[in-house]
Amino acid sequence: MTAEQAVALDIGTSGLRGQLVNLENGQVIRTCIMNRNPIPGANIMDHLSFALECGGDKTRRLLVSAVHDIIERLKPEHLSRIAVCGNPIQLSLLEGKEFRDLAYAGESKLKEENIGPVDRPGHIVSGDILGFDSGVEIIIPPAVRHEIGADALAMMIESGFLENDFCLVTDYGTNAEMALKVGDTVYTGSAAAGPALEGQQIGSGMLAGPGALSDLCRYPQGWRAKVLDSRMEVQDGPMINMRSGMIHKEGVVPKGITGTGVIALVHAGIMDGRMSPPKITGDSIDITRNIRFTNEDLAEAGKALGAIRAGHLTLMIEAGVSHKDIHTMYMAGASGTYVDPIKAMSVGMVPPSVINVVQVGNTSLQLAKDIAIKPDEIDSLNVLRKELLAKHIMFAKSSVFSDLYSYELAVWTEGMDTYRYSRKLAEYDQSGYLGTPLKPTIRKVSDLDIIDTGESLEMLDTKIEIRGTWNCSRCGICVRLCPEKALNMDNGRFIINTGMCLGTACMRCVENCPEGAFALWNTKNEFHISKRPNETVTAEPFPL
Amino acid sequence: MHMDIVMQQVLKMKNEDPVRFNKLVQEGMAAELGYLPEKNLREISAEKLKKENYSEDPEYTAVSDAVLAGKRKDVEKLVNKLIENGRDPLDVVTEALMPGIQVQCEMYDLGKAFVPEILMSNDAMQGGITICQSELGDIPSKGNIASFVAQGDLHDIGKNICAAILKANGYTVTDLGRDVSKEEVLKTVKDKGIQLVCGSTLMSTTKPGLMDTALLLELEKTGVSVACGGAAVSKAFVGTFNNAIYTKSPLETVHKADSIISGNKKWNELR
Repeated sequence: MTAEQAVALDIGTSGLRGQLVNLENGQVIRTCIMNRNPIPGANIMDHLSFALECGGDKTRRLLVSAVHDIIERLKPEHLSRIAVCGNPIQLSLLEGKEFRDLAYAGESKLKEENIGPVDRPGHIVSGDILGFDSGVEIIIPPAVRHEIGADALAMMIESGFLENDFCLVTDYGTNAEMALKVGDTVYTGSAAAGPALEGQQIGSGMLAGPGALSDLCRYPQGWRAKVLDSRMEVQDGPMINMRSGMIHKEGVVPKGITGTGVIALVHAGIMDGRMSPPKITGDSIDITRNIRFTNEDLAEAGKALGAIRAGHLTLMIEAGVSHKDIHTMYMAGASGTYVDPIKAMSVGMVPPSVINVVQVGNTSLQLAKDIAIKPDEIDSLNVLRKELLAKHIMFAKSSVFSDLYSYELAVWTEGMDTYRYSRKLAEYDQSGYLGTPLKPTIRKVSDLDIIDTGESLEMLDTKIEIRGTWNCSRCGICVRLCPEKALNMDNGRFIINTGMCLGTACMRCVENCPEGAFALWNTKNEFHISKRPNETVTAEPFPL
Repeated sequence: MHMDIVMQQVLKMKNEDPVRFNKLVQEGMAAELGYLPEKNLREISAEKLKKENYSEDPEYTAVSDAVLAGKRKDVEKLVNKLIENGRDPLDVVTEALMPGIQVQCEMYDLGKAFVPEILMSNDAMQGGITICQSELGDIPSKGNIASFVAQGDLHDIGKNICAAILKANGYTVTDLGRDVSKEEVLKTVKDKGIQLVCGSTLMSTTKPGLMDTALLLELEKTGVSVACGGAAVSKAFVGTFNNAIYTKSPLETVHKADSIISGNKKWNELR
């Protein structure tokens, strides 16, 4: 008789991660990563837009279907529970609970739609709500308050942040949740940095995978590109000389740039004087014939970096401390684990006076694993959420943030010199923030963002599709224009790969339909979620 | 000065103010390579712009300078003094306050001033205008514009920049703030003789609010269109409904506002 097993799941905005855990010894058996979130859209607000337009039920079915995909691949034998961590939006969508309070920030809209405050305590439900056997327990950790979700709680607990003082923690994801601890009070915020630091919305951007340029290393001749090979190991790539613009083709040829690669490029470009935001000398850094980093990419990256820096500063200013008092930074999330902290500091992702950097990995999955092993922990989490003296600063409402962010925009996208920004910061008693950072000691909890992957790590593409038919001539313009190749046609039926689809952020298929017939989310159409057979990873595109 | 003392001071500056140190080093290098640092260009054009825009009255130019520097308290103090001395409030607006912001805007167009400075100058100018308004009532303007952030959204940095630049270009802007319902916009349009509405949103969940507002204004036959902008808004999205135009930047908003209000263009001629 094999031991009972549990699954720990982290539902992120840009992907899902699952682990099968042996409950007798707490060991991880295997890990599976889904590269995309199955809900159409490039960020969490797009996901919410989809849910508002299509209804919570259909959105829930997409997520549940993705959860089943992952769990199937983990091949559990005696599944007794599933613990799910993630931000409150994904968790509410998964459970089919109220999510509209998270979709709107403004009171007047909430009142008009009659949406009251929603409490999200940690709880255990029966497996049948996700289509599992009713004997399987589903454990959902609490959100502290509506803005501070289970993922933020995980980040604070699992990093060691709560035991420390005068420290910062940041999950460098699309949403950039951040917290500052001063005495017993925790100041939290979330700067919508966007997906640029994950390699998305960058012209040649890609998620971490084979062929991804992930870092640059300084050599006398220039910067050596570091490229991931087919086993996801770091190999030497071309040598890039920022000053002369010469590229020596060597080693592995990069196919795209990841988020950490973007940070490395910005750092190297500024250091060697090739970039002075918003301009790159020569308008782009051409790494190969197809891969380049352009002025627009620099602006996208700059807006994200600016949001994070303005967010950190806002927390410190609201807490009434100087950045010089902050000595420890916990960097969470995949980007926070793989990025070189020295480069991150030089581009403003980490305050300059920090002397200890701890790279803590994916804390959301760690918390899910902990409560999968010890479900009683949910009670102590519920106690903690009541006791936590958390002060949430809503950056959209904060005048300090909006003041600082207008300077960040001017520095990154209009070319204002940083001298004027540092004068502004001096008014907030944060002088020296833009100066040369200290050299911190760096501790990496694990080489991978998932600390223990068990015997195998599998990467999975989303295979969740919506099929539908429209009353149209099948001209195929929509299929041709889809930038993500998410839309295909099969025997006159449209197939949308929901994980690839950018949803409301794109809508090119709808806007360019010459007959005005294409209605991507028209719920009157057939809405049938299906999974492609496992053998075919991509369907044959419709012959045009 | 003895070379050692100079070096000591330079090192001290390097430690205390590395930003300024680097800037000076770079300027030194640029000067050696034979081209003038940008700073000189900026000074030249600021002076030139001032000469073109400023009044000849030194008391008025003092106000313009305070607006340009973004010092609200100074502006208020100076304007109060001018009014006490019996100056015409309308003159103060057109000859003292407006030239300051005009110079700032032209500098912005040239890429020599930046958004934070426009916001500060605008704030300073508003301080002065409020004082004049209490003396004068309405102040002549190029037109009436209302600005708002769609219902459900609170992100108003973009809208504030846009409103400031519209004001700086001579429009009267009724700022409805953020999280504004379409009915509220309609009421303002009817009550205040608004000629153009500018709406923005950052969140994709709230962008239908812009469409609803544009359609309501059309349905109610107000003849007023909505200029839409913001991170969640694209030209293609705005193209899906009537009575709206897309503006990518604050400057484009000003140009389109000019076409609509002074040029009597309709929304469908500007798409």
